[in-house]
Amino acid sequence: MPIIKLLSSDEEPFEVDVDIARMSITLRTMLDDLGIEEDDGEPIPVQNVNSSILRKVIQWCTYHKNDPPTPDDDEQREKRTDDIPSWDADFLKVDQGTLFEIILAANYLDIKGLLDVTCKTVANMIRGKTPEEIRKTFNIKNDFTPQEEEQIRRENEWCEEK
Amino acid sequence: MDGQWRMSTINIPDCIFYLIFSYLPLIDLLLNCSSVCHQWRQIALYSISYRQKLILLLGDSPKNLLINSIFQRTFNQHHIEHINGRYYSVSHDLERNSLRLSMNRFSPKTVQKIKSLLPNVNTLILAQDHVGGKNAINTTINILRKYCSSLRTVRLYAYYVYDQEDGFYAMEEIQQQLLNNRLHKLFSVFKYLKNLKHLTYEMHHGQTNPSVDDCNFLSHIEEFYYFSSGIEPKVYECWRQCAETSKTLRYVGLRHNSSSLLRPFREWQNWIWTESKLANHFTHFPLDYKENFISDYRQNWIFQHRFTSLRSLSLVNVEFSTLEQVAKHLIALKQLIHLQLPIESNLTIVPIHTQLSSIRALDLTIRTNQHSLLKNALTSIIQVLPNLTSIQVVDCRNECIGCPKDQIGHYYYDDKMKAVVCSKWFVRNVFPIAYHKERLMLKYFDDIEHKRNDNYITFE
Repeated sequence: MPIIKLLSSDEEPFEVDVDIARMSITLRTMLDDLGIEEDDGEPIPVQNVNSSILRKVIQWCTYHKNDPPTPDDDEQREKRTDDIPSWDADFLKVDQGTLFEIILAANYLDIKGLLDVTCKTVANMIRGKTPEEIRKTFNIKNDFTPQEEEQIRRENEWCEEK
Repeated sequence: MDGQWRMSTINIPDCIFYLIFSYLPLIDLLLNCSSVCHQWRQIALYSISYRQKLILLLGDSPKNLLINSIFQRTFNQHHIEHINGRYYSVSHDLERNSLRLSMNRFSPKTVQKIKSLLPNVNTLILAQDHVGGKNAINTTINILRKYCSSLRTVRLYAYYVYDQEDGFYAMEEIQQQLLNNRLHKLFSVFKYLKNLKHLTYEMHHGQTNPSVDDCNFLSHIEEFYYFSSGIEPKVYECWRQCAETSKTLRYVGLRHNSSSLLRPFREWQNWIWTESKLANHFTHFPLDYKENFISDYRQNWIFQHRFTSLRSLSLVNVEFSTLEQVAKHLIALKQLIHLQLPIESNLTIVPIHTQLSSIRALDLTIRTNQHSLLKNALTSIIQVLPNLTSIQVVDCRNECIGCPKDQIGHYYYDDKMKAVVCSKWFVRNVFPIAYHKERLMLKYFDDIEHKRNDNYITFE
């Protein structure tokens, strides 16, 4: 199995099977453009991803290397969040900072399957929560003025009318 | 908060939020996400405007329980949220980009909100029960006329309401008249929707029809689907007139459930077969085989040259002895995926032709109490039609077609209320035959006394 080296943003090298690296569209394009088929000594820099996140990404890709390709987005396609595989659910039991770092890495590396499952996880954290609960969950500052809050409350009143 | 991770510490691009929000129900975006902070509000409101389907559900809230369940099945929705006793559809799948409003009347605030949502809506699914309030329907009409000029698709469903003790209401004449008036009002609105291209009108357990005047909308739409349990002759005539002059009508779908009501329309059907330019555009058609008995040669010509676009065909009054002949002609219908077929008595051999390989859905009308014959019939059908994914068995008796009488009533509901009620008979007898199918749905429909029991078994 051909191996290539990836270099995280904090300059830690990772040896990865080429097939696993190619699950990332970003890396696949890079490998194709540069004509790289296996390790030629020079590590490929993954500038936006640090070593701890890159390790997680490689772990996810390794587990899912035999999965069928993720279908393209389709407006009519079922968009559900209750279908996260149990392995992925366990894998994503991490602190919020790590979870969002993985999302950013999946986005940068263009790994659709990982991006989907992480976004579903965050959607599940939001679903059914009040604005205040959402703020508390993600530690978001309420930047509305009291006047703006009152305006929003009035706008949403129609949903709650008796 | 201090010491805790903050979302603001990393720069999360908007595209990530859009993706996350795409997995959320509309009501979460409307009520919650849009009230978190400025950034979330901006993204949530944009996400809402991107969603293009809106369901307005009118009528008294308790009655909407039934309509709700019908919609649940119709659109495979399986997640309903209850907010202050009102029902908001929050679906995970096909129609998930929808907001269902269930209320007795629209208040000015509601109208205001609907107004703000409508400019981006191009599909309206409207359910109307016959006790829908006068104010509700008038408001709906006003909303449609004033704010829905962008609508390209309207699906109108009209249902009888359900009474828990008596089942479906028998509609009295006065109620019928009331519903007629209200539906005529609705139809009258369609002509104002100049961008309307696709109209579906589905009427269950009633004979309410548009008047001739109401059908002017046909002059500018492209697709028209009509499903009903009863159509008055004058309506056919009005469609004929409108269709003849229309420059835009391309696809017409008709489905009719009542064989007895088809008989007066032989002349109209003959016109469709032989003269109308529409025949090649039909995607659904009811054919009364007995009443419209025609020569083998003429049948062949009709199926070869007239109904080539047919995707769904309902056959009624077919003698068993002629089934094989019918099947032979149907081979010409290369796009046929749905066939409604009566099987009156002899189920030993169902002459479904092996070349009807395109058929994915089959509705059978079965009158038998011999479940061994039923089993054999289903076995042969499943084996012969490779693409079959759905069988609907309509039984005209109020009992399970498979179970011996003393075992009637073995039903179960799955947790999603999606696959509902099966008899043990199906599981025991048909599942072993069907297990190799990727997905085969058997739908057991018991329509006696107009009780609506859609019973599904799904094999995944």
